This record gives sequence, C-alpha cells and structure tokens, in this order.
Amino acid sequence: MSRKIGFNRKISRREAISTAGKIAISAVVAGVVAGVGGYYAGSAAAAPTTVERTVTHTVTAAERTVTTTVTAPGVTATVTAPAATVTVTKTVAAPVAARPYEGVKLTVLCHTGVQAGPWHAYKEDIKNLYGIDLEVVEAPPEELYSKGLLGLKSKPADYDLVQFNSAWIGDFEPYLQPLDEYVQKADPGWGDVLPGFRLFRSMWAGKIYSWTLDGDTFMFYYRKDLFDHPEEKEEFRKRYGYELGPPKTWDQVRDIAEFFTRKAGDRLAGSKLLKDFYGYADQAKRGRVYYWYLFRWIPYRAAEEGGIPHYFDPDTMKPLINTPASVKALEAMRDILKFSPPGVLGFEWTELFTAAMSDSVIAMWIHWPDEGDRFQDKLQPLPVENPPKPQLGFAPTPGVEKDGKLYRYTLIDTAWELGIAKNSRNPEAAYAVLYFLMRSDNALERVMAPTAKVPSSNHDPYAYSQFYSPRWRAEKPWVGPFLDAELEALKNPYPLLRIPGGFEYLDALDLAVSECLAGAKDAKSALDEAAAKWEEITDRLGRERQKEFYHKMWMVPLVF
Amino acid sequence: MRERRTAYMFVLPALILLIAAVIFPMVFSINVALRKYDLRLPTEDYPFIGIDNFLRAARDKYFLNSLLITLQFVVMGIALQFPIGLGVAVLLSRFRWRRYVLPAIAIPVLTPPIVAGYMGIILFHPDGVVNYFLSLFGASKIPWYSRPDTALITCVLIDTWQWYPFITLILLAGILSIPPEYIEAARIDGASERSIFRHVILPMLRGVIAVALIFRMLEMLRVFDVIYIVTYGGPGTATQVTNFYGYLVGFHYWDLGYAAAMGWILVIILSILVTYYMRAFRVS
Repeated sequence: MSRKIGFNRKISRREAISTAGKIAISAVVAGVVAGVGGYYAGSAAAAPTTVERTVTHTVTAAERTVTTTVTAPGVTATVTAPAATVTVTKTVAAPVAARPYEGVKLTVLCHTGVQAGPWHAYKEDIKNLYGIDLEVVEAPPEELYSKGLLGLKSKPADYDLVQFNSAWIGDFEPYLQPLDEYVQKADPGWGDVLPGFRLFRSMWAGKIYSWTLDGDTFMFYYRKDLFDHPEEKEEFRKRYGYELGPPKTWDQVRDIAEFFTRKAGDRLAGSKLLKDFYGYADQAKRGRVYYWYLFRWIPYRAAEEGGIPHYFDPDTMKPLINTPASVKALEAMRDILKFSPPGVLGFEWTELFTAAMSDSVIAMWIHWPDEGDRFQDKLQPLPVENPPKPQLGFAPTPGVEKDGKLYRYTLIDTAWELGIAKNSRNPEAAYAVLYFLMRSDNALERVMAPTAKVPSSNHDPYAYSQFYSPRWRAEKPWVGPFLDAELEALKNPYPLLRIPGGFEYLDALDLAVSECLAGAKDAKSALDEAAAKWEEITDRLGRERQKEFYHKMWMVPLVF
Repeated sequence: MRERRTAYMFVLPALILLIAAVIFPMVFSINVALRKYDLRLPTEDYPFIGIDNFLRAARDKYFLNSLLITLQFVVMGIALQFPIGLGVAVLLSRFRWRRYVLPAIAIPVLTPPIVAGYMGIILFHPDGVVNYFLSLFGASKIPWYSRPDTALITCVLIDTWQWYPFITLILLAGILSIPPEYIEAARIDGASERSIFRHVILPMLRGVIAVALIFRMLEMLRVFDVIYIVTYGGPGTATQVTNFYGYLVGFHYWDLGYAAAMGWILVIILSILVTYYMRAFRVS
C-alpha cells in the first residue's frame, strides 16, 4: 500500500493524447478511500494516512481530467486525476483519516476449518485499515444454525457478522440487517455478483440480506479424452445416429451412459480396458441424493409447466413434487443405475470423486465446482492399456427437450452467505468488514485460494470479476474453460428451496428418492409419500406462514 | 452435627456437578419435550403442549420403524457378539500367554467409533477387503452397505468387529475369577469339559454375563456413529435407527421438542428392558 501524500503528477499522457478524438479509452484511476476517526466518543483522532482504491472510469477524448467520487464505509472522497491510458497503474492518493473504527470490537461467527481461512488471513488487514478488532468464532456447520440464530436473537447480538446458509434466511430474516441502504452508500460490487447468487441467495422478499461468500452450484463433468476419441465417436454415431458430445438432455445422458458401460477386457478409447467401466454415476447415498433428483426434476417439471417450475402451488402450498413429470424424472434416475458402479447407492462426495477422478471408471457425473476449479489436475488416466492424456470436460447440467424447446437450468445450491446482525452494537463497522471481504480484489483471493494471501477458503466463484479474472486464468491455465462453462451454466439459475423447514422438506424428498433407488418403493408411491410428508410439514409450520415465506423466496426480479 | 456438616461439605461439589451436568439437563429436556420447541417457529415462548409430542411419536411411522430397526440391530448384534466374545474368552482363559494377546484384541474397543465407521467402509467397500476374499471363492462384488438388504447387517458386523472384545474382556475376567476348586472337583467327579462349561462355568458367570450384555445392549440401543458414517440411515430407511432419526429431527429439522420426546421414549423403553433383564438374570 502506498503511503504517498498528494497526487502523483508523473503520469504519462502520451497514449491518452494519441487516442484523442476516438471513442472512450479506459483509464485506471486510483481513488482515495478515506476514513474518519473519532466514531467513538472521546477517542483521539487517528493519524492521517493514505488508503487506496482502484476504480475504472471511461473517459472521452475531451476529458483531460477525471473526477471520481469514491465511497467506502465511513468515508466519501472526491478525487480528480488526469485522464490516463489503460496502461497507467500509478496511484492517486490523498491524505485521509485512517482507522475510522479504532477501538471497535466485532465478533464474527463462521464455519470452522478451511472456510475460516479468509477471516484469519484478513484479520490483521481489517485492524490496520479500519482499526477494528475482529474476534473470529468458529463453529462446525451443524452448529452454525442454532448458534447463529440464538446469537442473533440476543440483545446486543453475540455476533456482529454471521456466516449462515442461505436456506436459513426465513428464520434469520427478523434478526438480520437489510443491506440495501449500506450498498447504496458504499457498494463493494453488487452488480458484479452473478444474478443467480444475487437473486436466489442474497435477496429475500426483494431486499438484500446478505452477501455471497461461496458460489456453490453444480456442473456436469465428462471424460473429454473419451468423448474426443475418434473410434468412440464413430461407433457412437453408428449406434445412436447422432454425434457424441456433452449431452444436452437427460435422454442423451442415458444413451451415452449405456454406450460407455463396459466390462474389463472390452475395448475403450482404442485400447484394452483393465477395469469395469461405467457410463454415469450419481452421488446416490441417502442424505444428499435429493440434489441429484432435482437436477432431473427441474427440467422435467419445466417441460411439463412450459417454464420455470414451482416446488409448491404458490396459492395453496400444495406440493408439486409428485406430478407425472416428477415421477418420470425419478424413473429415469432409477433406470440409469444400471450404468453405474455397483456401490453407487453408497456414494457420497468422496466416493463419487474417487471413482470419477482417481479410479477414472466413470464417463459422466454431476458435482459441485470443486473438480473444475481446484482438482482438474488430479484427473487420472482412463483404466486402459494405452490411455490418452486425461482431459476433463465441463457442461451445464442436462435438460429436457419438449416441442423443440430445451428446458435446462442450473441449480443454485443453498450455501454460505455473510450477514450483519440487526442487534449489532456497531452495524456500520460490521458493514465495513463485509465491504472489505467482498471487495473484488479480496474476493478473488478467497475464491482462488490457496494463494499466498489466503491459504484456504473452499469458496467457489460467484462474481463476474472472478470468472473473467486474467490473474486466475494465467495462474491456473486449466481453469479458463471451466469458468467459461460455469458462466454459461449460470445463465439459467434455479433456486434450491429455502423456506423455513427447507431441510425437512428436502430430507423427506431424499428419503423417497433413496427408497425408490433401493427398490423399496416405486417412483409414484415414493413421491406421493414425500408429498404427503410435505403437506404435514407445511401444516405443522403453518400453511399461511409458509406460503408467505415461499412468496418471499421468489420475490426477485426474474430477469436473467 | 459438626461431623454431619463436614460430610455434606465433602459431598457438595459432587452434588453440584451432578445437578449441573445430569439433573438440570434431564429436567430441562422433559420441559422441552412437553413444548412445541421448534427453532423454526417465529416465537421465543415455545408453547406448552402436554404430551402431544409423545402422541405424535406414537403415530409417526418413521419413528416406529426406527424403533424396529434399532431392535433388529440390537438382537443381531448381541446374537453375534456374545458367542464370539464368550468363545474368545474361553480360549484365552486356557492360553498361557494371553497377557501378550489381550492388548491386540482390545485395540478395536479403543478405536473411536467414527474411525471404526470409516474402517468399516474400507473393509466393506465393493472393491474392499471383504469382497476381495469372497472373490477368491468365486463370489461377485457385494455392495454391502449400499444395498437395503445388507446395509443393516454390515453395520452390525462393523459394530461387532469393534465391540466383541469388550464382552471377551469382561467374561475372561469372570472366568478367571472362578475358584479353580470347583472345576477340579467337577473333573474328579468325571464331568466332561462340555459339562464343566455348561454346569459350572456358565452358571457362575451369570452375573458377569448379565452385566456384559446390559452394557452392550445399552450401547447398541444408542448406536449412532457407525450409522451416520457408513449409511446415513439409508438406503431408504434401511438403517435409520432411533438415535439417527432423533438426530435428524433435532439437529437438522430443529424440532427440538419432538426430538426430546423421542429421546425420552427411548429412555423409558431402555429402563423397562434393563429392569426386566436384571430380574431375569436375578442380578441385584
């Protein structure tokens, strides 16, 4: 961080002048983020220092100077600087009062382990920049709900900032500080966040209640080395009458899964197969198998509805998880089991990851973004005598085609958000911390972790500046195609259920799916039972109240 | 009077600890079980609903099913662990160098249940050790813990691997404490080894057996870790034991009142079983 006082006048204007008369040139103007001291009564004025912030401003040829107003929590500063070219990286800085919250002590409740990494990494910076003493309280994910809720209810709140799962927003809403006004005053980049996360994670009842920490979603993975093999492509076209490629529909997934399911000793990718090989696998263990059902349910139901489907009838709260299309989706899911490894009903994250990436015995699967942005280099060669170079392909999760229209959505997982307690002793200071963590440069460090600054985070990307980051793409060259695919997938987001009782609803669905896959029930009766359970949960939690929450969940501008 | 006061002073710390750690949580959990104590409800005064949570449990087919599965788990577990434990105890009682073998046998008991669960996954994985040995006899791969008909027995086998040594150790101590004169007298009277075991050793072990089985039964009724790690209650509800269901209701659905009621029903069942069992074995 520069400590220079006053504007730097040594900026080259040669390039800017040479492009005069043409359309806008991009200029990187460094602004000033100033702090104001003395927030605390009686506290001594902090020593002036310089705080930098980089802003982008498009200037016309006529402009010789650029005036930018830069705001940050606790400060607003107007800076005038010479118009410059994109190559200019000099910093314009001004003296400001730093550490505007000197002496303020804040407590953050966060997920224990690697997710707590950024908090520890930035604690010192937050202290230096704002003067805030941040106490980091870690809790395992299963305790975050109760600890967070009870802590937020306290007056004053036990925690000023809380990491919580977006599925809990209905319960947390009364105790969270809406952030709209704060964002209007000092915006760390609300428009930079992808609509799927902005609308279906951070917003509730049309207001901003939190900010995405972790852009969890799902991607379709396939063995590109296998899909690109000429022998396989030729054979597939002969057998199925269309080109082998990343599947767009679930029907295509079934074809390809059938095609690639082979026994040890058969040929695969032009070579002798050393192990049994399977076309497709779900993470089908009881507990989270509902996700894999929803990947099908959403497009099947969308095709049935002719548009974005609903979990419930918004007027009556009647469950819509046992409609004919829903049953068909579950039957399709069960049908594909015959192209999956024998123990697939016991597959959790590790088992699916190991079978797909380490044992390399699966051609296609759906998972969180981990494989793409963190583990792509861990992909092992195909289990054949002369394997091609291992390559991983990425695509949006498949859809369903009806009347020539493809219904294809990407499920936005309910995951980690950061909110501010309504009962916080110092919500302004808490917002300063949130602002700091969400600033594009710091957010990039988090999602790129491990980096020199942030050793761990497990946070997935969620903002345009992360997806298009030249730094990330340069440092991890394999990540570019993955980020492009994920960005494409996130053009059609669909929210996971996040009303109170969300987990109980989804667990009832999970049980039904698990029972059907295990052969204990047929698809129709399993889903009918789940729907009956949903009705019971709705009645128990209050039908009118649940209806209100369901409306709040969808109270977002549906413009993608 | 002074001596009495001194005695109270000595007892007081333990009493405070007992009240804080046992009595208060118990009373509090009864209070919770009698209320609509659901963290998802928009209230801070959880209303008193009497025995509604208990009546709800009596109608909840998942709860009733979980009781049945728990019972199956206990019966299968005891049926496996007791004969194995007793057999190994009898063998060890005749083995001169048992002191060197005993620590090795006791290792599984010292293993944390979570680790035992993960070891179970490794052992019973479709490509794991158990299937490898079965394949030597021409058997095909069995997805042990992911098939509804084998999932529960797989969990029982993992529990057995971990806990049969506990029964062995207790019974071995019991066998070794039998005065040798009784056995020698039986031999002099011409009794066979089988008769000695059946008519001398077993009757004298009755109290020890009762204690070992009560301990195991109580532990097995509380089973959670292995189920959580290996099957997560599935596939379907194939391994959804009562404690696991209670965990879901309490710590995932946040319906704490109902979860507390389920816990109390299990406690009541346990108390009845233990009382009956103690009477049957005439243990006092």
